[in-house]
Amino acid sequence: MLDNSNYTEETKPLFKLFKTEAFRFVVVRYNHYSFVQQLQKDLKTRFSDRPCHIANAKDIDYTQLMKDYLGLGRGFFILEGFDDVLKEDKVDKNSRPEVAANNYRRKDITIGLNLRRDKLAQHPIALIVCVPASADALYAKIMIKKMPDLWSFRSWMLDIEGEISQELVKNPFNTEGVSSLPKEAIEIESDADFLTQKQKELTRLRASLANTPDNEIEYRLTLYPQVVDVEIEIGDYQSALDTLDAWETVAFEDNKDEIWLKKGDVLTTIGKIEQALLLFEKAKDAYTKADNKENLAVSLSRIGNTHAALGNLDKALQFYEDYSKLEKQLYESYPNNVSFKNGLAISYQYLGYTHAALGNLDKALQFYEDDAELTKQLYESYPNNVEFKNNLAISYSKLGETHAALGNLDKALQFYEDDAELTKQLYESYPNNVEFKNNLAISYSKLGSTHAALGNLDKALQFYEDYSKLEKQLYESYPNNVEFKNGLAISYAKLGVFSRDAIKDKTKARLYFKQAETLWLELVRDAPQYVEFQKFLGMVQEILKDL
Amino acid sequence: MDERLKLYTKAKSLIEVDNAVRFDVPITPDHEFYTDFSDVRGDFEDKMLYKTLNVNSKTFVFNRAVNRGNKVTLFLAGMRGSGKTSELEKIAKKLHNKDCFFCVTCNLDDGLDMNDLEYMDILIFQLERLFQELEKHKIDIDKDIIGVLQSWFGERVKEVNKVIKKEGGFEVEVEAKSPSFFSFLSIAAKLKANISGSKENADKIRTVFRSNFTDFSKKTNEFIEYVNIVLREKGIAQEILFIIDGLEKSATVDIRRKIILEGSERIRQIKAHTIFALPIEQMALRRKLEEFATVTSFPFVKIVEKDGTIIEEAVSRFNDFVYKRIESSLFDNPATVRKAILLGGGSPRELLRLLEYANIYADEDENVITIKDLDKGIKKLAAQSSQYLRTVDLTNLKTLKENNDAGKETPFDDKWQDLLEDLIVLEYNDGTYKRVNPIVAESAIYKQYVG
Repeated sequence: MLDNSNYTEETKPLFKLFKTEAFRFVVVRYNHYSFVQQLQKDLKTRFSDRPCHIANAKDIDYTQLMKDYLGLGRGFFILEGFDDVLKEDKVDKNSRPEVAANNYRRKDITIGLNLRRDKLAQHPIALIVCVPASADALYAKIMIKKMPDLWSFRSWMLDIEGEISQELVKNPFNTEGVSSLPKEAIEIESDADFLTQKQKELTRLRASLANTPDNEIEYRLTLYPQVVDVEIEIGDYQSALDTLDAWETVAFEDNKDEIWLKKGDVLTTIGKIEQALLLFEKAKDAYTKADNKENLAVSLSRIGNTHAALGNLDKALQFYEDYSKLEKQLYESYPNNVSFKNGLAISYQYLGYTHAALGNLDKALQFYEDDAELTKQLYESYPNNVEFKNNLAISYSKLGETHAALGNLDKALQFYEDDAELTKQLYESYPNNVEFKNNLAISYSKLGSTHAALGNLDKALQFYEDYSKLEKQLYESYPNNVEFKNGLAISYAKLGVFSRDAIKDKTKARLYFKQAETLWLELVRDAPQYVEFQKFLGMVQEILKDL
Repeated sequence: MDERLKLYTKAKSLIEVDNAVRFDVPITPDHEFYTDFSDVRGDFEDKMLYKTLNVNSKTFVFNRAVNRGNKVTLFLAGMRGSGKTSELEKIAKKLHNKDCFFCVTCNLDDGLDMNDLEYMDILIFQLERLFQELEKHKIDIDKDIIGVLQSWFGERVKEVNKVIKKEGGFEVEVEAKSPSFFSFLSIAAKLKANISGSKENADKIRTVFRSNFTDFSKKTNEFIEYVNIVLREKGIAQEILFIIDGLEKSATVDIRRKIILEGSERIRQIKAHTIFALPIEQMALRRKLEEFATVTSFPFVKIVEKDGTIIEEAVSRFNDFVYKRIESSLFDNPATVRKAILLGGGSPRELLRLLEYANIYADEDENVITIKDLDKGIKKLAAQSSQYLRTVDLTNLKTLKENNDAGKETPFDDKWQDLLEDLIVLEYNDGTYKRVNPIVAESAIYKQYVG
């Protein structure tokens, strides 16, 4: 949050007001978008049991707005960009029909909200409309004119300001009015619904566990994995680890390997990779003893990933080679088994990644091409299979990376575009899937870098902004996930590089690098084993020195 | 008992023989025709099967304390007509008790499209059958737990419809209802109808369920274990046992292989005791299946040893089998029946077919089946069976005969698959003892090439 702001002072009475759950109509005027984000974050933290729906008035029509509002039932309904609906664009004979249509859409919202004031007030929802300082200075007057009845219901008005430089007002992070994302991508409405549903399921599962006698082990064992899954999905990693411990104490000896893998995954997510490595190795030993080739392959890939994260690339390569060898054996024994084919493709991808990191780009390219070939066959055979589609998108991304590193920018761009197209389709179909959201963010980053290198600066900026926005949403939803935090730091760093090199704005660049540095400092403090975080921190500190 | 079985009565005149030798409905243990062959199937012993399930073969009590963490998946592999279904009926009857299992039999050909079948369809069908059985036995299950499964299915249907809508197809119509046996069954029925009725929708439904399989398996496992607790509390059974039969009736070998091979990773995620009747040609996948399951051969009844010695105990059991269906006075001589039994090769179904043919040639006015009638029937059947034989098959059959004559074993490999499928070759013991179908051996072409 910005220094010298009146945020705390302004919001204090608001939070007090919200203690009683009832209908409220609140207008928030702000001079920097980060205040809106802070407000959203604070509402979610302070009133964690209430759902929160966020929409942008620029992208919504009245019908959808009401549907979402009524569907919410209770909680907070935040409408950003509300200044837009107060506007009216000039329409003449030369205007495009969309301009008039947009005016009608705006009117529908203001007239509709005004007319349905009583209906709105039947629900214990705080309707919070956000208006930036760039809006018409007389916005309140326009609001009174356009929606007098709703205005009469207003509960609170905030005017949040902070001292910020002129550059920051134009900061690319202020993404209002700039978005190439689909509507779903900039809303986290579904996140709120998703979290509510998951919370409900978690409560049910925990209650079932509590109510089941200890001797009904088999039933309890069907509940623990579900509790862990939900805890991971909602980002409550510590609870997930606690549940895994409880599960391990009652699990039958033969099934403990599954728990070790899962625990290793959670520890990896929160940055405790050395502990994770021990568990992956324990699982590997168990699978070796049981001659369980399929799971042995999984444990080898996890160990490879961990060594890669620890910076032991030679060791990682060794485990990936063993992993790939096993997957190849399985696939050759059962060539019709799609799961083994998929496993082999993924192993090629890991080998490609390691060779690329070791600087063997030709080898990397070969592995990535082999991966893409198998994955494409799988996707073409099963076009509705989400996993194969996602894997193909990743294959394209990896091919793009390698071609970019080899200097084939046009080829790289083509692959990145193919990746972004598939990933966008996946994210649009599954907006609650954080992996797809993260992959989409990464694909925007890659497109940004490539366009920057090709000199298409406007496009590059657009992609970087979209990238950063998605990463921020992910980080805010999962603050303990080191991957997302690292992703956000990278997005700041990329925007920093872009500001420094492409638009030659050192002040703005410094600001971004500083934000990246803060995140990496925290990451290095919390997850010191990750060499990547240390490397990035060193890099950004060097850059800051030179600026 | 299947209503059709009530029509099966012992033939007292030739005109009734046709009905008495039908084999389109498997005989259940409570039917007068039922003959227990389990102790004359060579190496196969049903007590081993019970042991695998941790059930005492004398008392039929399930020992839950043993190997509690693991559920048993058992594949019972046998040839068509070897009597798998009747054996499974017998097993279900013996094990369905308060100290043992709540048996849920799923006859796939009763409920699914056998021309287009995947493991996912089978699992949905298993759940549907479980709900039907719970309802039939009036076992109350908490609405909340039904609701968990029902809402999970509801969410998947929404997901499916999203994909269908994008492509402009007909959506799966499912009404939101409060949780109950009936409402769950109606969702399952809708899904099944869509899987059978439209190839496009079937693919989309399966893809969505496949993509969410891990979650699906967890919800299913939770439900199954919950029901297990209820069954114990109410003193109905200790646990659920699914018996899945009829896979061999699916249209092609490829469909079956796909179900077994691709489905194996999913089958192992479902934590419920399950017996699958496995078509014999899938024994080639034995090693893969044995990674998580027990595979047991269910061979034909062995009536002749490799060296040609006749096993009289088995022949005697077949005598019972024949005379339970047909009055002995309807045969000219016990030797006619004996010849038919030996030519049946240990397959109850092949023997019934042979008797059916003999009966066709018999003179109704005489009211007796003679050896001549049987010979005519054999000739006809032999000619029909040998029509499938290719030169390469005859070469293989020659090798087989040589191995048997020399007392050697003939291991399974791909070349036997078609021959086993077409019942040109019959298999005994654990599959290492194969023999040409005696009817085929009667054909002129076999005699010419193999001798």
